[in-house]
Amino acid sequence: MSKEVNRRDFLKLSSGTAALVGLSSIPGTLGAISSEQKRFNGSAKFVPSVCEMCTSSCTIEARVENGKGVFIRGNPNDKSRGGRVCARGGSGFNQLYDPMRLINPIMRVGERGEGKWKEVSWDEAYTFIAKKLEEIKEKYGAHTVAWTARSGWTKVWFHHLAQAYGSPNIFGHEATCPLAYGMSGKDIYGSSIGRDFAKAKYIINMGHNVFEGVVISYARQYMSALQNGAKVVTLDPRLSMMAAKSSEWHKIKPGHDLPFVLAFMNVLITDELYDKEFVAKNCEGFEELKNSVKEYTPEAMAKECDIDAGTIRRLAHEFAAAAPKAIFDYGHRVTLSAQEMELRRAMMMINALVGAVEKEGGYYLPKNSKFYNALLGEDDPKAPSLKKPKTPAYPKVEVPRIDRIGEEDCEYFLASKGQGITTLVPKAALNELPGVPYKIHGWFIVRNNPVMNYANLETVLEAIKAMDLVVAVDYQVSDTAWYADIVLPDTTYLERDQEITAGGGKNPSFSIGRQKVVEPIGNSKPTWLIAKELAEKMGLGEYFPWADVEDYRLQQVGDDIDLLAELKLKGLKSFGVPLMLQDKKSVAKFVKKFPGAAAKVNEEGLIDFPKKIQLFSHKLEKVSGTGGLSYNPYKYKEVDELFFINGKSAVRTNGAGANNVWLNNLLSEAAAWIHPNTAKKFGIKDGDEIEVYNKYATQRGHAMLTEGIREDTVFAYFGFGHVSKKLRFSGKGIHSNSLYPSFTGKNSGMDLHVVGVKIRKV
Amino acid sequence: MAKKYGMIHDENLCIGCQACSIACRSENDIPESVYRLQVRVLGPKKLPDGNMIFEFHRQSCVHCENTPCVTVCPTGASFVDENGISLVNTDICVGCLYCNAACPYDARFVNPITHAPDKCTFCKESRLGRGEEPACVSVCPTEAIVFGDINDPTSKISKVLSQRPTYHQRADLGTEPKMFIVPNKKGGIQS
Amino acid sequence: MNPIWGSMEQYNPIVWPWPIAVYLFLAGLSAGSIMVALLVKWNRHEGEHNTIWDAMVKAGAILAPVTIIVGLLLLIFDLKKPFDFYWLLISYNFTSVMTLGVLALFVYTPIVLIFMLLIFEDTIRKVKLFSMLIPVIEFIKGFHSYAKIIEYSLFGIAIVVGAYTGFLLSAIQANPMWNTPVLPLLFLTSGVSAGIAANILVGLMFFKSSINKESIKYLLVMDLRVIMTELPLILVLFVGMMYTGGDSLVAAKQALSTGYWAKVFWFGVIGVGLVLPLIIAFTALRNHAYKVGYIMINSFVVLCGVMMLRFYIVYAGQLFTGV
Ligand code: SF4
Ligand code: SF4
Ligand code: SF4
Ligand code: SF4
Repeated sequence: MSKEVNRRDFLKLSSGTAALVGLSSIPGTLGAISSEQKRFNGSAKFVPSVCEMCTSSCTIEARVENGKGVFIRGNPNDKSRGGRVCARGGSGFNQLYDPMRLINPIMRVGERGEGKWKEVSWDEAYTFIAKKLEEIKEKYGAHTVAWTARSGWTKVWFHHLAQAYGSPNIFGHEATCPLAYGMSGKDIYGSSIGRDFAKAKYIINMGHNVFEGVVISYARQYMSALQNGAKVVTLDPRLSMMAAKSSEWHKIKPGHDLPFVLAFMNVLITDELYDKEFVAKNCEGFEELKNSVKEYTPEAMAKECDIDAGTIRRLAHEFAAAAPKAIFDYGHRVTLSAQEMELRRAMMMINALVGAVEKEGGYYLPKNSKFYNALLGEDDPKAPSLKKPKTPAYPKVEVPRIDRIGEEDCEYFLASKGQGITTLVPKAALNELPGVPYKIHGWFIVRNNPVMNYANLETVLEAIKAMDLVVAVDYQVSDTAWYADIVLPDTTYLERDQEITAGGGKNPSFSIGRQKVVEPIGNSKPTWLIAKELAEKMGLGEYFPWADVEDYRLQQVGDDIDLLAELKLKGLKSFGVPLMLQDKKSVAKFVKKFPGAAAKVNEEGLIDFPKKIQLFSHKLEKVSGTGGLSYNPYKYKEVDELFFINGKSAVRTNGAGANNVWLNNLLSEAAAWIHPNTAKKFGIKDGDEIEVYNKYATQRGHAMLTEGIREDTVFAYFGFGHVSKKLRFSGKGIHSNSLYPSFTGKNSGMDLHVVGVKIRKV
Repeated sequence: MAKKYGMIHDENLCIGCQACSIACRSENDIPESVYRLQVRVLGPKKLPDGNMIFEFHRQSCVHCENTPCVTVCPTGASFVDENGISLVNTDICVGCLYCNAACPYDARFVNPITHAPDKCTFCKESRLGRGEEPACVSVCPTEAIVFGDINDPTSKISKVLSQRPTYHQRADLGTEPKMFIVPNKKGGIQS
Repeated sequence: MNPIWGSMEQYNPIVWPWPIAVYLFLAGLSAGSIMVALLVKWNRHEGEHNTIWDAMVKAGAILAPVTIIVGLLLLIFDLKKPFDFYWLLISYNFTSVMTLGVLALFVYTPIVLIFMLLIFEDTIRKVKLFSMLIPVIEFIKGFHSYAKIIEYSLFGIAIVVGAYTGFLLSAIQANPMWNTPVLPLLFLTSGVSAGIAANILVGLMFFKSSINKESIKYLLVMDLRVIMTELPLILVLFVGMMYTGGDSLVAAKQALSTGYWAKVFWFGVIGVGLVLPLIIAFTALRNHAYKVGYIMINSFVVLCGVMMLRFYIVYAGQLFTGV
């Protein structure tokens, strides 16, 4: 029973006043409406919420202006972001009336990827999915359905549903993005790591391009550091915005960051520049580390990374001299090396070696309520901690996950189950992985985009085609939704409430999550509701014992209604004072505020690390013999190929930017950066249409000649060359992930974002 | 004393992220095809010492003190308000585009809805009345834009102007823009 | 760097496109042809009928109003808000050359129309269709004692109109090629040469007249003189730009050497507009070949040249600003 969309009805329902012109024939989507018909019902006062245009999840505020538009700005209560918002964040409201957004569930009627759809009701959609899931459960077992969900709130609901259904195979996006440094932090420091950029005097940045892949708080901190005269040294094959703003830019060879870091470390140790006292007192495994990096002298590594030995030495000396106000930035996103785990661990250990941890201008451990409260005395007030609503136990699962996380011998043990190695899903759909006695037969994908974001498009598509069921939840027909059997329309973030989150920087903090700014448009539903209703359809309703988000929030705060009220009003709240364990002044302030904490302060006026810093990993050693650091040269490309790397642009980074008209208008196609000398060899001129190709794929784009790149390297912004025909500019520009190999990093499980390509003029 | 509104664009702090451009569009309801403001990222430029930098050119009305656009407008539709903001009264504009032709800063475009020239208004119609800073200023992640009353010596803009060297685009024309630019000096030292 | 700042379409340097060039041409032509008609009328016309002089006066009398009206219509329809054009008549800004131009045209246009009526009085009286104009003519003729004064002032306003087309552009400081005092003079002169050419052409074509060697020679020489004043003016324009230096110098160099518009300048403005008429005139004069055909071709070529001059100045002036 598919019905033709009646947008007249829809608009009457959604806004009361609007009528419609330009009926679109694409089932399920909103279709074009004229600007007078775009009416926004919502708060005229700023409502604090959280941005969803990229994964940084910045604190924002938004208000409806004369019913005609929504203005979004940063939440002024958030000091770290200064009430600022980037171009992506500012464009958010544009999604609301995007004619291409989905407002009804759609079901595939042709082949996967053929683009033939019919519109269905929510009930039909739920029934279909529930039935299919039941079938798979009976035929192969519930564990053969993989569930991948966007970081943050969506994960909470769907990982919960997955486990209630009986699948241990739950994943986030991390293996395509930040997983390795999170794992490294856990291994070395026992937690993730914060960076006090603003106060640093010296920063080594290896392609952490926060001025283009804008992370507002980082961008601001880096900028204040620069303004305060800090020296920032950027190593990047390309003149990124960060490189251009830095005091020094070194064109490191793509894929060869690790040899640089090892040589840097080698200098710190050999020249005895490291903080002996700090290491002796707070670290374990120094001798093993020393031995493992002995051979990586700057002279030996210089030709590997293409940074001369003298420079490596100089940088190491300068860095050590600036410590503890020094940060070796461990970066974010793109995989820089085939040895991600070694690379990120090595980077993170450097700060420990120079003693720049838990000190102003260095690294710090994020302090959530649990961490913070553990330091407080009995009489001190405690940071609130959120409660998890009680739900029934999940059914027992006898088989391992496809990434074997949770098993004794698992090489990816440092990843949490909620992260997992999602890039293994396509592989596990095509073949049984070692030690995994089954294949994946279904994929439930919530606001994640494997077709765009996983390395090697070919494998992903083959896997999707081999599955029995592919469900996508998204607010638009993303590239992945394009291949799904059924697509459920999520609301955009401005239309939904979400639960409270707790975290911590230098002290514990809480966020309201998202708050509805405007009434939802059409029949789209927030993910919490989709999960709950689907669960009910699947007979799993008891797992979702909350009426709505407000009810869930109340259960989260328990008796602390004031906390909820304050969060709703201000958006965020922090507890206590900032604390750096190894900073005398900071500790003194902390004790002044919480006298009971005095007991934890040592004779030097500092607080000891809760756990020793691990410079050698016994567990990694046991599982895969990788406890120390080692460099194994990797062949990224053939001799006659160029390196291909990618990165973020300031306006289009994540799925939400992919189809946003305003952002697309700013940057509709990302050109390939090519050095003029290289271009000359290939007879390519600026603006020429070119093909970038290798054995995995051939991509078309335009050449941009610039001296801001190595001669042996081609660069393109990612997030272009969309496959879904329901996105604007589909097919325009280079789909960089299609050029990458199907690769799973040792221990990290990460994709690889360096590969060899050739170029030619079309 | 009447206000004299001005703006600073600090090229050192600007990262070319276009947040300002989007905020302007959002707040002032600018049609999709046109821009009151663009930040052009030019280069890379190689400095004599081998450094490479990008230059950041803010393309918008610079709010001239001596306004060529107002001088030539035949109907008085282009005018400057009491606070020094250059504006267009679309009601009495005939759309001759004499002002567009006269503006040395390419600041004006034809608004596809009103058919009259449109340009940066320092957000007079949308925000100044509410006591808010212009949209572009309010969102800039790195605080590269400063706005305020130049006549008020205690304002932030006056302070920054007294501390930092600034220049005008096309100063030779004698238009005396109220848009001040802090030149870009940063850049990596090429190894 | 990738253009990440969006489309540059709105920054098209051509703010004033071809209708403005055509308008400037027509306005100049109108002023030129009425001036020429008046001059001929005052100096030659009395008592001569069916001569080329008579034809030229008639041609001017009809060309001046027709071209200015067509030009104004073109101008109005080129406005982005054509239906608001009345604001031009009720809201003034006296620092704006356009306002001054509007005022001049406000006076000029009715007078050239009246002039036309008076010159064609006989025709109008003969043709039934125009009979309703007769009372108007009678009314105007009531003022016949002022006739000379009106004619003189018409001549004066025609000069203003012809020059104003140049002042309109020269008021724009941002475009070095426009922002020069030579432009009004240049436009006025080339307007006059267009006026002569057009009057001859239209006169010969529509107002049958006897023509003799003497008058042909006279006309050719007259053309020559005007062209000879235009050439140095163009020279002064560019020398002035180069002398100013800076952006102007760059603009001048670019305008004379880059792309399509440089070609238009050398082949169109200089080649067709100035050199070719000179060649035609000289050969004709040298060989004493006083044929009507020569004059017609010559006039046509001059008109083309003037038109191309306007296009060149309008487009190259906007494109090449030296920045
Ligand atoms: S928002 Fe600020 S940093 Fe970004 S482009 Fe605009 S001025 Fe530059
Ligand atoms: S376009 Fe409008 S504002 Fe501009 S000069 Fe003409 S009448 Fe004035
Ligand atoms: S920049 Fe242009 S539009 Fe703005 S005041 Fe100056 S001349 Fe007028
Ligand atoms: S001041 Fe206002 S109108 Fe001008 S560019 Fe900034 S946001 Fe746009």
